[in-house]
Amino acid sequence: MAKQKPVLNVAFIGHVDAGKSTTVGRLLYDSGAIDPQLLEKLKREAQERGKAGFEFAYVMDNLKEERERGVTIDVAHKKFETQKYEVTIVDCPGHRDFIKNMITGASQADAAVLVVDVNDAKTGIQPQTREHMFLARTLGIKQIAVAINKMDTVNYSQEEYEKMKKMLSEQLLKVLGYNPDQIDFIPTASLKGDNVVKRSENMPWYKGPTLVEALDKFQPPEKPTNLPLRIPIQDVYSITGVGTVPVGRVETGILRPGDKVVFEPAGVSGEVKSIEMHHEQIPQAEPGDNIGFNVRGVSKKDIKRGDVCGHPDNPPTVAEEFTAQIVVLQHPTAITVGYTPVFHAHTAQVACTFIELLKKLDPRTGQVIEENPQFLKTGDAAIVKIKPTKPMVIENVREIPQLGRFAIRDMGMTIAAGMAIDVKAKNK
Amino acid sequence: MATVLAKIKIMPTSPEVNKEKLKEKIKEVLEKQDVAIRGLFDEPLAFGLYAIYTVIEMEEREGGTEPIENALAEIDEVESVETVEVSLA
Repeated sequence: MAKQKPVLNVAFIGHVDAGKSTTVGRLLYDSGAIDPQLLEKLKREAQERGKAGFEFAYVMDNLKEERERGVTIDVAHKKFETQKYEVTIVDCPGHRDFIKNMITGASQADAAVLVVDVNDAKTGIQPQTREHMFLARTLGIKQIAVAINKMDTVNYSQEEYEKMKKMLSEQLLKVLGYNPDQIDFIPTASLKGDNVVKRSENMPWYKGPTLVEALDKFQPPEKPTNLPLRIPIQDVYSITGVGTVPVGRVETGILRPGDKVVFEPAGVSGEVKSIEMHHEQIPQAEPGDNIGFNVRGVSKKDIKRGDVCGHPDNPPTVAEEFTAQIVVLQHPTAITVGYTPVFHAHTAQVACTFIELLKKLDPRTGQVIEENPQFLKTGDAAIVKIKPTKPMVIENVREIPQLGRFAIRDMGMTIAAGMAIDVKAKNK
Repeated sequence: MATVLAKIKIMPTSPEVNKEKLKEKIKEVLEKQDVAIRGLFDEPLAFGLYAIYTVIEMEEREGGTEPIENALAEIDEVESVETVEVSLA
């Protein structure tokens, strides 16, 4: 029995018009991820309906119809295999109000592919591209590849490709702390299929990997087992015959039966008696595991959703205040000192006040363009100081990235997203 | 307008909650929202508890999944609601 390939979660990000979804579709189509019988049927239908040469578009449209008939239950996933990995794709929505889900949700991408339109070299980097890249940085994604797409619309010009690569490297990637020398920039034409899975014959000047080959160059995801234990609590149950059972997903560290644990900001401690996942007892829980664990010495009324479980020798950090780097995604007016929206971090939702606007950053270069700005508006990037209105766990994003990021919500909108870069603790 | 798929995790208030009846209630709530249900299933969790998951298809619009989460959270037997995955369709 052959060993199963490791799973790699890849987020596809970028402006909606860059051809992101077409690139995803092309990956699935050319890599053979679509059921061969279904594919054969759809290809035959395409020819019968005079759509020979447009099989790709016909198949993609019909897969959507298949989904509407409920053919496959796990429709949120798009999966295919490379030589090295079983790849799961997340094609990221562009709308800001879905960003909260990606920041606070359980799904974490191990790598990202930025899809850009080569023609943006003439008009500048799209705002949504910037937002998605900032988001990828906020989510702690270190491994990225760039697909410079729609090369067919510039006659597969190397000159246009180089312009776009230079613009992205200098105005976006370096600013966010990525090293362009370690990134593959793949010239693609997804609609035609160039350099996605199949090497293009139209760009002999390009010697690098295809997109699928670039995915295989990514390192396998590492579980953050070496970090301190952090389990954001989703719910707490009192179960007959068992006792108190908190439920949550292990973000970092390892939990074992017999461990002494502390819950913050509740400030209560107990001992873990047993851990279950999928109704089976497990000897230890690791990052990514969705678990319930029976804890003695803590009652259901002591802890709640939003609390974080850790070990007493390194308890979760309860913030007195914290300094954060944010990007303002949308705000009807402006953010000023005193503004108190709701911060969504891990399973916690706490109203927090902007107590100081420290620096406004140039989104293009990351340079400080204004000290102590009076206000922030849509599109601004900034360093700010935040004070929670009630106790809240948040970690320095450089130390425990999984608990250092947040979305800011108000008026039913996602106002901003960011990460904590310095935390002044109440409990340490 | 783009279409988004969202996978939402719904936790019951206790292991005693009848999961088939809860699924029916979830379906009723979702049918009143402007979404299409693409999946509704349960998964064992721990100590007799189940998590219920639904996959819905919706427009990429203002508010995102929050109005749907809020509507689902109103069901008596629901302890919590969380969107765990979103992706363009």
